[in-house]
Amino acid sequence: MGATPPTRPYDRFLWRPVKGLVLAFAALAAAGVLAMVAVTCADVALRLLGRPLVGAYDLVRIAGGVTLACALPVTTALKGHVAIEYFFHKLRRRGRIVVDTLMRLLQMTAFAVAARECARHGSKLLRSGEVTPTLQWPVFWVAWILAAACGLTVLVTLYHLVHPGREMIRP
Amino acid sequence: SGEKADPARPRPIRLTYSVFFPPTHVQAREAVQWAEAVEQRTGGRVKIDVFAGGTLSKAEQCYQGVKDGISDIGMSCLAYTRGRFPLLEGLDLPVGYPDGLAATRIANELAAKYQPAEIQDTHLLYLHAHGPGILASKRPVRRLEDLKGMKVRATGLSAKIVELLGGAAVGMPQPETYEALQKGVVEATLCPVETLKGWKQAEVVGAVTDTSIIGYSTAMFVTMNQARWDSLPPDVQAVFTEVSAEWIDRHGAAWQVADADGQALVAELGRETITLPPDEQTRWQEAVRPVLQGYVEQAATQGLPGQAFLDDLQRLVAAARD
Amino acid sequence: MSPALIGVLGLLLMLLLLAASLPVAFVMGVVGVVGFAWVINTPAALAMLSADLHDVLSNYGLTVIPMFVFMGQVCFHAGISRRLFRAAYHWMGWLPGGLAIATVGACAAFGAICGSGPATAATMAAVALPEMRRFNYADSLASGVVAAGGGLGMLIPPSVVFIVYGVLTEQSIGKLFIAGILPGLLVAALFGLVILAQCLRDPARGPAAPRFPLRARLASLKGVIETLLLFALVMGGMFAGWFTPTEGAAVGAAGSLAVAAAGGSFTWRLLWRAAQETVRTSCMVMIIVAGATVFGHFLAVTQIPSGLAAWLAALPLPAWMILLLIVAFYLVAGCFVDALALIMLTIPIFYPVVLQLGYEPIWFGVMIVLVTMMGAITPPVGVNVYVVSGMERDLSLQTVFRGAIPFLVALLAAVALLMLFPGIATWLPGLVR
Ligand code: NA
Ligand code: NA
Repeated sequence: MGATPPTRPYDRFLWRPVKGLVLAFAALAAAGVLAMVAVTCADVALRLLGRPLVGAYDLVRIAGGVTLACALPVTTALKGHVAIEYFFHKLRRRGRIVVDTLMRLLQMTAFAVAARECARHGSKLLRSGEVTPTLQWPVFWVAWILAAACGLTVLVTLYHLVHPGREMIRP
Repeated sequence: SGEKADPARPRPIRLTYSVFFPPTHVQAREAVQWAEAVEQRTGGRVKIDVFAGGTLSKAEQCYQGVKDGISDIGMSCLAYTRGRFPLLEGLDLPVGYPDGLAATRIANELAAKYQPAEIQDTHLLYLHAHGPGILASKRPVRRLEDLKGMKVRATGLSAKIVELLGGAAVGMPQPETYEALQKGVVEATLCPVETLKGWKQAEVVGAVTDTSIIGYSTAMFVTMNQARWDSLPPDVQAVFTEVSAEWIDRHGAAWQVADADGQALVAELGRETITLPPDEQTRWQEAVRPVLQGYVEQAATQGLPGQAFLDDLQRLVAAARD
Repeated sequence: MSPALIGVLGLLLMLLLLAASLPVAFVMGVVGVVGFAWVINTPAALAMLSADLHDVLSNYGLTVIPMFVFMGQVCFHAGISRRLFRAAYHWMGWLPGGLAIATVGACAAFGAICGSGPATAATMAAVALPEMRRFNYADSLASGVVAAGGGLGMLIPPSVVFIVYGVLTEQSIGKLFIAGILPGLLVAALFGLVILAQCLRDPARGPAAPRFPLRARLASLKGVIETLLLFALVMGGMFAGWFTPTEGAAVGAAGSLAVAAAGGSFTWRLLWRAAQETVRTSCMVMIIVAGATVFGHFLAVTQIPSGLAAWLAALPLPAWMILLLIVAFYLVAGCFVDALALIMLTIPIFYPVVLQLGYEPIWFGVMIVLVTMMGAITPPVGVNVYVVSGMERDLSLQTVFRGAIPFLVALLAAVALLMLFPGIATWLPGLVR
């Protein structure tokens, strides 16, 4: 992973920490999947013993939310989102550069907006005092993690914009 | 859709209304009729587009959605956003509601009396609440002991109730409950008898225990975006208030009819309905008392008059049971 | 400007951005937010974006998708699925397209555990697709069968679509589930025929293997044992009432780890890789669902789906023609909108009409699931196709769409058969009282 050698001076100071963050989020996401499996299995086992894990439902929802939010930057870095590239490949070189640049700028704007809105959504949830139904844990922070993930995705897209034709992280 | 381009008449005020009930549910139909009544009595100056089944905002996001203007009006359960309505949460307590009409009337009376700060960021039109939660189980439950260790589908406040009754609360979404009951993943569910028909769960339970002595409810709000409300002309506001006041009893009555239908289906399928003897009823009431205590204490930490609210609630319920 | 016109402009903008190669999920999200802002207002549209993102990503019914994907990934990385398909190759490989036919069977079997189409497609894309490609099956056939076969997860009970339909129309969910069984088997058989026909005409699409001697075949059965154990654990546990189908995903994942450990193929690296792939695939799927949700909210406020449905329902035509038009409506609308949202918006309009025309409610439910299966594989928005193409990164979307089209024909044939012989759907539930 991350086998591309640094080609520009700012690679070391900007992109390395970004890559590190993306991988850290990915690790958290993977941990989230294992947590979902573990909590569900524990609930099933304890239920068979007559003592179900109260709030397992809440825990799985939270773990799922964290997993999917944290997976966003790495999925984008791997260019793992599905796109229809049929028409794009019909374009000439200049056309491709123009379209690609425009789309990346649009994508960056979209995620910047999403980051801001998710952060605000989290603040609204914090102020409202909303908690999970059974365990009564606060829920706002999941929205904040989502906001951070969207923000990181803006940087990942910027990387793709200035390094055309290259994934930030190789699968 | 049949609007004529009449230059003398201004274009109607268009409002969106998000309802979490599926469009065919009787409460969604009441919402549509409420909207039609508002349209009619404003002489067509207001046009309300109803989006049922959560197609505009999901049940959990409905209240915040109204605040943010995703929909102008919204109907959902207070309990879906736990913690957001710390005082009105008391309406869901297992105080022994006799029926949906009483629960609905009481909810509105208390909301009007206490005017809780938690709902002041939108314009509350009215509340309604379902009939008492009962216990539908695969094996008959006649005494508290029968419930010991039984796996009961319940989330949130009702999970607490199940635990206090000695059962084991299992959380799962309503759509999965049918199969879970069928296969025995859970052995019972705590819900209004109406749900047994709406979600078809009557097909897969063996008996229904009338636990209305500790009947809890789920209060639902119908509320409007504050800025939108403020922008309405006073006479239009008056129509909203008038129609809403009328619809309180209509929703309540609809809950009663729905419960009766649910009960009829239970009987039709030949499922036993169990009535608890008086001394057993007292035991169940005693068992769930800590939930009421917990509510009062929680409210107190937030500086809310939980004790007074509960006292009023119990007084009104007692009056309604007579 | 009228909301309907904005809706049409939104659809056009969507097609334009799709052609410009912006990822599908982002296209739907961007168009949904811009369109909603136009019809309602900007603050509401922005609030909707964050609310939908947060809701989709932490919705219990959807958060289970990662668990199903994880189960498939563990089976793949531990070599469990490879050994299973080796056995399938020994027994069915002589048949042209035999492995693809075996994959249809696997989809049907997995559909009996899983109620969601995309999750079934994701699992099979992890398990069956690499194996078919290893045996030199044409990319389009191998990916098309997985995308289409994933739909069997919705037709064969349990099924999320049947539950939603049952609640909307006040029909027995149990009867709907039972009604799905025969049509599910019918569709699986039709899929098999489609594969066979393709491979007989062009043997290179699914190259037949020589017949293996009986001893080699029997020896290959050893590879099935692990899968059988897993299947017995998950199905047995479900029927014994130990866990729900949703929880079965977690049990299956843990079980496949245990099987891998018992077989000596477990490593921490395996666990890590399986988890990483799961994370990437699930995120890709869920972001598409989130985009479709945002877009669906925009379309809802344009009133296009409900307006179109109401107009269709009022046409003065014979019953069977209206029904065909309804099917066509879902086929076209399913190209753009998420199936469940579409059903919520339109069933209340169509359902009374269908009853008035004299059709059976249970039967119509099966038809709805069939058209939903079609929607999942028709371009430009075909969720199952996205899932498959997203998991096998060197497969372009058009390859998968192209591979799925023959199966669309099979689904249309199933619709025709159901119209001619409604008993396929109504006979079994009629036996149950
Ligand atoms: Na299924
Ligand atoms: Na489609």
